[in-house]
Formats: sequence, C-alpha cells, structure tokens
Amino acid sequence: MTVYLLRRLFTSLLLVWGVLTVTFFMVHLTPGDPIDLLSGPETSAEDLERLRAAYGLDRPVAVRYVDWMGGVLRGDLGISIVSQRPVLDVLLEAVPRTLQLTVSAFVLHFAVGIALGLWWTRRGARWSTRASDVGTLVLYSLPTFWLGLMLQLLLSYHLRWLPSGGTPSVALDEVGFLTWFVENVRHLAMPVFVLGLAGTASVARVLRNSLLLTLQEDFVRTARAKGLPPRVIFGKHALRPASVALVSLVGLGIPFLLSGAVATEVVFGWPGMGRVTVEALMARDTPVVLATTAVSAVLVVLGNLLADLAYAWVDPRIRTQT
Amino acid sequence: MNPRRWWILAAALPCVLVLHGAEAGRMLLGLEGEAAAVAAWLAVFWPFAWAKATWRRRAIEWVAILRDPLSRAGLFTVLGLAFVGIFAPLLVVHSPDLMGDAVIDRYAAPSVSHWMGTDLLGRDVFSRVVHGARVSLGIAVASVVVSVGLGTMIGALAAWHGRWVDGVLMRFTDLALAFPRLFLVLLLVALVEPGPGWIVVVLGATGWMGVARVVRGQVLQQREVEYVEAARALGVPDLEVLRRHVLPATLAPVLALSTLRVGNAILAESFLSFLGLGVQDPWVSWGMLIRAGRDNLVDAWWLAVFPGAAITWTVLGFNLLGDGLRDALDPRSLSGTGSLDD
Amino acid sequence: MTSTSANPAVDDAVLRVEDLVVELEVEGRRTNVVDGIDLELRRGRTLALVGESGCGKSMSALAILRLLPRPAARLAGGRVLFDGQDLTNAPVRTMRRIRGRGIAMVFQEPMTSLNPVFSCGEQIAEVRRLHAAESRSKAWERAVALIEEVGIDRPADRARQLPHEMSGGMRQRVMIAMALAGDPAVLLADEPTTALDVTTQRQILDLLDELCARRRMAVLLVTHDLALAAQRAQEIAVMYAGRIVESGPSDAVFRAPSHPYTLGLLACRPVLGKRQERLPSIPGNVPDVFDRPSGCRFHPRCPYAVARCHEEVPAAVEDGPGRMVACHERTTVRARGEWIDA
Repeated sequence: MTVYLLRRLFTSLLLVWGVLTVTFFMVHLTPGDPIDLLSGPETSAEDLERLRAAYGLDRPVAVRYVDWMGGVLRGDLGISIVSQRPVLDVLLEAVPRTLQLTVSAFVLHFAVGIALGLWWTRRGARWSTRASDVGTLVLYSLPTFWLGLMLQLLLSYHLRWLPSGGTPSVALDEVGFLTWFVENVRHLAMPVFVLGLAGTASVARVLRNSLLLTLQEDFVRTARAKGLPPRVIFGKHALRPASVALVSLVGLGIPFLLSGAVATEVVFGWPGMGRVTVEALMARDTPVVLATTAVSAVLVVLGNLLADLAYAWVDPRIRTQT
Repeated sequence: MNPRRWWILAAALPCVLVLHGAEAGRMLLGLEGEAAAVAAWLAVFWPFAWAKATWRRRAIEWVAILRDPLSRAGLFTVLGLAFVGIFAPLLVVHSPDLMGDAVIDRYAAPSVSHWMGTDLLGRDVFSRVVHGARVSLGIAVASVVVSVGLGTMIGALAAWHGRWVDGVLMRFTDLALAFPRLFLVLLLVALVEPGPGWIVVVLGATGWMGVARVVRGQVLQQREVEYVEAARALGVPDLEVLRRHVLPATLAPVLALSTLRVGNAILAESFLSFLGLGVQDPWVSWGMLIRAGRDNLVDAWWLAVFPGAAITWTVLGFNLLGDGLRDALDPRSLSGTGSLDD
Repeated sequence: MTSTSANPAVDDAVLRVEDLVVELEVEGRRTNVVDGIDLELRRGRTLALVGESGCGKSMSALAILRLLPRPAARLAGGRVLFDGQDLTNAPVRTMRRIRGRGIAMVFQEPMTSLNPVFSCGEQIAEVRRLHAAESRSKAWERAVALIEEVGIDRPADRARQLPHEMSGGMRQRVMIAMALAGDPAVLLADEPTTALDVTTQRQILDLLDELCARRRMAVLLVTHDLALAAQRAQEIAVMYAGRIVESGPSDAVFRAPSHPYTLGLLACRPVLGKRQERLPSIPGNVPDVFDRPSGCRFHPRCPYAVARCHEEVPAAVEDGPGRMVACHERTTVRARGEWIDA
C-alpha cells in the first residue's frame, strides 16, 4: 500500500510540475504582453521598455521560466499588475473561500446523494430509474449561472429569505456563535445548492445503478440466506461494493466543481478563485490569472490523489494487491 | 456515399475553421456567400452521413432510439433546433435589431405582439433568442467538430503506434485533463481576440480529451481483431487499415459522445458571453442576452428567463439524444427492483 | 406426489418438501422448472439430490429458503414443512429468522458467494450477532472457533483475512463455518465441491460428514456427481427434467436401480480398472426447460420405453422399503438390471 501511495504521489508531483510549466508557457508564448495592454497611446516607447524591465519581461523566456518556477517553490508568485499586491496574498484570500464553497458542495453531493440513492433503490419502483435519469439530465442541462440568477430572483428579490450574495459581514468575536453560524449558512445556502445540485443527482443515480447491479451478486444472496434484515444487506453488504463506483465520481467531480465554482462565484459575488480569475482576466492581470489557473489544476491533481486513496480504502483488494 | 469522401470533407471543416478563424465564422454564421452555403450544407450533411454509416453497420440501434420516448424527444429537439438555426430569419416577425420607436416599447413585458417581451432598446426578445440560437448552436457544433477532429487524431495515433507514442500522448491528455475546463477556457480566451471564430478554437482545444480516450480505447480493441491483423499481414498500408476498418468502429461511440459535448459547449459558450468575453455586438448569443438581463433582473425578468430556458431546453435535447445513443450502443439491463421482500 | 418415507408413523423428518413447484418465466415464456417434487430430510442423515444441469435441483434448494432469483423464478405450488410451519406462505420476517438459524445454505462458488470487502471472521460473526444475539467480542470468538472447527489452521489470523486471500478450499470451509454459525438443524449444500479440485473435494465432504454426524444436522446435498452421492449420502433422490424419478436408500438404489435413467447414469461412468471398448452413453440431450416431452420426460432417450411412456406420466409408486420410482417399466428394468446401449 505504501508503494502504491508513493507511486501515486510521485505521478501527482510530476503532473503538478507539468501543469505549472504548461500554464506558464501558454501565457508567455503568445504575442503581446501585459505591458502592451496596460499602456495607452501616450506612453512612450521608453516608458514601455522601462515597465518591461521592471516586470522582467525583457528577458528570454527560458530565464523567466526558471525564475518563475524558483519563485513558485519559494512561494513568490509575482505581483498583481492591477492591485500591486503579491499574488500569493491574493490567492491566500481567495482559495480558502473557494474551498469553503466547493467542499460544502462536495459534502452535499455525497451525503445527500448517497441517502437519496439508497432511498430510491429501496423504494424499488422500476419507473424511477427512468425518472432519475431524466431528472439528472435536466439538472445537468441547467446553466449554473442562470440557475443562480433565477434563485436570486426568487429567494433574494421576491421572497427576501436569503442574501443575494457576498460573504457574511459578521465576525465570530462580534456576535454569538449561533448568529455567526446562521449568517454563514444563509450566505452559503444558494451558492452551495447551485454548485452541488447536478452532482447530487449524479451521485444518487450512479449509486442506484451500482446498487441494483450489486444486488444481483451472489454474495447478496448469501447475505439473505443468513437471514440478515434488508437494512443490513443494503447498508452494509451492498453499499460497500457498490460505492466503489462512486469513487470514480470523486475524481470527475472535482474539476467539475471548480469549473462550476467560477460561475457560482461570479453570480453570487463570492470572493473566491473563480471570481478573482474573471476579474483579473478583464483587467489583463496576467500573473493572477496564471496563478489561479495553476492552482486550480493543482487542486484537481490533489483531488485525484485523494480519490485514489479513497478507492483503496473502499476496496480492500487494491490495498493488498498493490 | 463513399466513406472516403465524407471523411475528407469532415476533416476539412475544422481545418477551414481554424485557418480562417473569424472570417469563416462570419461567413458561416452570417450566411453570406458560397463558402457559407457550403459550410451550412456540411454542418447539416455531416451528422446525417455519419448516421447513415452507423445505420448500415448497425453500430447504433436507431430503431431503439426512436422507440424510447425520451431519446425520441431528444432527437426531435435537436432536429428542431437545427431547423430553427438555419431558417431563423424566416421564423420571426420582428427583426432582432429593430429598435422600438416609442419609449413605451422598451422593457415591455411578454405580450401577444412580443412573445418574450422587449429589451432596453425595444428590440423583440423572441427574435433575438431565435437568432441567438444560430450563433450559440453554430459555435457549439463547430467547436465539437474541432474537438472530435483533434481527439480522434490523438487517440488513434496513440493507440495505433503504441508504446512511447501512446505514453507521451496519454500523459499529455492527463495533463490537459488536470485543468478544470473553464479555467483553461478563460485563460485561452484572454490570449486571443474576442469573436466567434476564436471561441470555436478555444472551446475545441479544451474539449478533445474525452474523445481521445474513447477513440484510443476503441482503436486498441480493434487493433487486436483478426481481420485487422489479416489486412496488415496482406501488406495493406497502415493508414488504409486505420481508415477503412478501425475508425468506422469508433464512429458510434464518438457520435454519442460528441452529441453530449455539444451540450457542454453551449453551456461554456453561454457563460463566456455572459461574462462579456464571448461573442460581441452585433452578434447575439444566449449568454449575452442573459448578461443584459442580469442588470434588470427584478424589473424585467423576461430578459434573463427566456434565453436561459432556451439554453436549458437545447442542452437537455442534446443530452437526451446523446444518452439515447449511448444506451443504444451499450444497453445494460438493470433488471430487478432492489426489493428484498421475499 | 410421492414420499421417500415408507412409514409415516416413524417419521422424524425435520424438513419435508411436498409437491414443490417452481415456475420460470423468461422473455414471456413460462414453464415449471421444478414440477412437483417431494423430499424428506432427517437429522443426522444426508440426502443427495442428483441430476444433470438444468433438471431443477438447485432451484429446489433455493425454493426451500425462498431465495429464488426474482422476478424470473417464483414458487408456484407445494409446501415446505419445517418445524410445523409451511414456509411457502410464511411472512418474510419468519423466513429471516429461519434463514441461517433453522435452515442454512452453502453455495457452489465460494469466491463470488462471499462478500469481497469484509473479512471472513466478520461474515461469520454477524450471523452470531444476529441469531445468537452475541456481543461483538463474543461473536468474534465464536467465529474464530468455528473457523477452527471447519479445519482451518491459525484460525485467529485467518479470521481477519479477506476471501480473495484464501484458497478455494478454504473459502468453502469458511462458507460452511458461516452456515453453521446459527446452529441450524438443516444444511442445504448446493454443489459445494463442484468448483474444487478432487483432493479438496474429498476433504470438504469428509468435513461435511463429520459435522452432519456431530451436530445431528439434516443435510441436503445437491450434486450432479453420482459417485459423490453414492459415497456420501444415506439417501438419494434422482431428478430428471423437473421431476424425481427415483429415490430411496442410496446403497439399495445403486445396487438395484428401478429407473432406466439411474441405470444409465450408473452405466455411463468410466470404471477404474475395467477395460471398456466403448464408453456407453445416454443418447440425446437433456430436454430444454421450455420444451419437455409429454408423458414420461425421459422416454425419448430411454431404451426401455414403450408406447405408454409417451402418453402417460408415470405415477410415483412404492418400490420396496423406503424406495420410490416413477416408471411404467420398472419391473422390467429391475429384472434386466442393465443399461441397453444403443
């Protein structure tokens, strides 16, 4: 198992390096640089050159690459052209916000999805396979940003139940824990719901299909022959092998969630990586865009690593064989 | 029709788009000139040719698709949308650019004369939605063509040559998959000029990975099949074997996958336009309409609701069709009801 | 229809099956795969249910515990009497109490019949927790003891292992331990050794013999192997195409069979040490479940068949102490006592 872990870790590190390299070259090998876009018609050529030198953009690409990689390892990701703050600071503010959103949505996916999947399977009606398929497809077809807008329209503007966006403005030390908690939930409710909706349906559907297949296995027949009650058969004997299928969703779900987070953050004004990227994009703030793209990919790689670990945990056969 | 010819035509389309970029986009979507006519003919013809090829080979059980009510709904939705896209100008009463004369025409709620209301400048929302269908669909389909072309090439190459070529290409695919698609799209969009042509390129360049994997899997399977070995043993050149025997087997799953990818592409393009990074004036896309609607969400709900509903309905249609195609290829019966009461 | 017990007064049958019918429905076609069989199981004795594949013997065993594969198969008639109760219409809750505790089952394929993600000890212990209401630690102790009882060494270590870490023979022992965990009165063994090699087979069967005697269990041994039945079972029931054609004490039946099918099965085994020019065989094939012959189902393949066999279903009649046979020509068969090879 340790060998397996180490091997996966090594591949992941390679992948991270690849991500960083590719991102860097994508940005730096295109014609034109940020300075061109920042400057106006009155800027003299000299000023442009000086700006370039200041940003180190006059050196050859290879040098810039080594410099940048070195910086990354040290934690120095450059300076944001727009705000003049270190990019690392920008990230340290934004990434936890995104994680707050995506991790909550992730937990929602799986907790609600599994419960839903189990309940659906036990209900047993044959038509519900079709219904769940269609339901999932409908949810997948909704544009995330539009769904967010519609919910805002309904819940924030018309019914005034939830805030239309932004982060809660109360700190833990100012108000009691309960208020702080409720405020956080109120602000997170719509974004997390929007982000996690399609995934939840997907989890439920995959689990249901997987359970139905697993229930036809011989060992379920043995479990019945032992006289075990249905909830034990479902919850213990069928669920563990069936949930192996869910692990693949973990791997797929992470990039999906991060992509969805962009739309959700933009619509709900949530100051996470996605919104920062979009704003930086509009302002042509290349260092920031570079950093957030790279970080998002790194998160995906980490997520896949976790997914593989989850795989090994759920299916002990992998543990002993590799 | 001779498969060789339509493969060449199919390969030509992404090349045309890539080489001419915005120009081809303008021609295609503006429906001017012969190039546009050819492009439109291709866009309609190509899926049918593919469908015909798969029908003949019974790779996809088309009858099964038409029987299942949901897949049927998907198929008709897609066909209906194609119809709307091509004949858009004939389907609307008002022109999408016609601005209202009187102030009273602005922000009009849905009514008999304006089914979906009017916008800030008094333009009829319904006709803008219909024309937007053209742009959104056109971009989405074109980008999928690019993705499929790229993905097929990469996947087939990797599987056919094997060993280190396969290793390198698959590592590259893994790397590309590590980026959440939207981040990659945003990054690339920042590096190019705005406009439908480049959007097609960007979306196409970020969506090929799944196709590559599927094609690779199929080709790997087909490579081991005896008639392929026989053909190679007889001295038939590799490219010929690939084209005539191996690739047709990959058609069916790729067709199913590409239908689903069109849905994704529509969602991606609409988000880009919503951000203002997609199509610009005078083009109209659904995402752009929602962007305009966002500022007036409370007062003029129809500006945002209808385009979004259009997107949902379109993507749903493609998803239903794609799901139906996938099931027709690989029907897995889930018999039993999950009840343990016996 | 018939009974294996000649004298109902001296009746200590712990499980009695009367006129059991199992209906099979596949793609709209229906048939009684098990068509009215009678069985009796007594404590401390083994009854072998012998027949070729497709005769319905496995279905019979599954039907007793109502574990038939739904919705294809269902119990359509007859009674299963256990402990004074008819199991065919008992409520599900009762069935769950009886399964594993009153009647336990061992299946053919230990690799797929054991849950791959739980340890062997856990799969045994949960039966103890359920039926003997033992605590976790006590149940685990008992599980280890059971693993030892079935002849696995280092039971404490083995208990923690997963099924795929064990050999086939060991897995089957674990299955048996699992079946014994509830201290059942009846053990249904569905081809318990078919998937194992010959040496292991012998060990497992020896184990079953020993356990059967020691725990005074009634064992139903379902098998296609006549030799096995002859060696291990005190009583035998020969099944053909859904019906029991002959039954009785095994040594009596084998010494002097009354049914041509039994004769044929005996004659067609290769005998060690005997020089045979040509190995005799029963001509023809086992009839398809949906297309069985009229009258006596064996008549198309039977060398003793007469016109009557084609028209009339032979009734099961007594044929000596504790013996039953269903054949019109039984007297002739008994008299001649040999298989007429075509």
